[in-house]
Amino acid sequence: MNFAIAIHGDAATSESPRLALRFARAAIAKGHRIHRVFFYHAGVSVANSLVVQPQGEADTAAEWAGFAKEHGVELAVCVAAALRRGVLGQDDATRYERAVATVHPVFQIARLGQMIEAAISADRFVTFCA
Amino acid sequence: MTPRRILFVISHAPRRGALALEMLDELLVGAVFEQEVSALFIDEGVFQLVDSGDTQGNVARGYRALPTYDVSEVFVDADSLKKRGLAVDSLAIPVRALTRGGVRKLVAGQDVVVPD
Repeated sequence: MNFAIAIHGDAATSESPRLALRFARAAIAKGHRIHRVFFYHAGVSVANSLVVQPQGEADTAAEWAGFAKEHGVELAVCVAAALRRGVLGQDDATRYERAVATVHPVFQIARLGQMIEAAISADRFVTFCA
Repeated sequence: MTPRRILFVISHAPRRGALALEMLDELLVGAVFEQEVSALFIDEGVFQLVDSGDTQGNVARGYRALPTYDVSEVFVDADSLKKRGLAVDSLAIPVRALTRGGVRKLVAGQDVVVPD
């Protein structure tokens, strides 16, 4: 089965990114595919490369990045939601005259249409709310 | 590909920063994909259809645009309205009120359900 996943919560205040990761790992382990993982609402914060986790605490963002690389899963971040929360690609950092780009390189800046496209074309669309 | 039935379920109150407006954005983008799109307002979400009269952050005014988009139908959970002292005719847009049984049937008949 082909899954699309949406993540609405950030790692600091919600279990959403962690639960979604466990779901994604289980799906791949069972031989399913993941069409796209879309980070929306506060979930875009998972893609913020400036976040530093204290030692000994789970680094969900790093785990997502590792998972995506290992299994070739696309991680997409909604551009409008990301701008509101300081997650910027190089283009936006330049356009809005911000000092740094903050998006983790494994995550792609995307548009909402890509989430709808994923929801429509996947066999199942699973949302992890905040 | 046959159009898929997509239901957006709005169950949170409007005043939560950008969340309500982001959900509206999502719904409007969904509506241009030529699918069978509908919306359900339930629990605290029914407040999103109450026009507060404010000019800023008034998501009810955003939802007024729905009829010009290709959204098949807007539903509300009748029980949620009643519990909050609201009536269908006090909402910003025309809606169809459903019983809890009707809500269950609606959700069960969808291909995709998108919560807020």
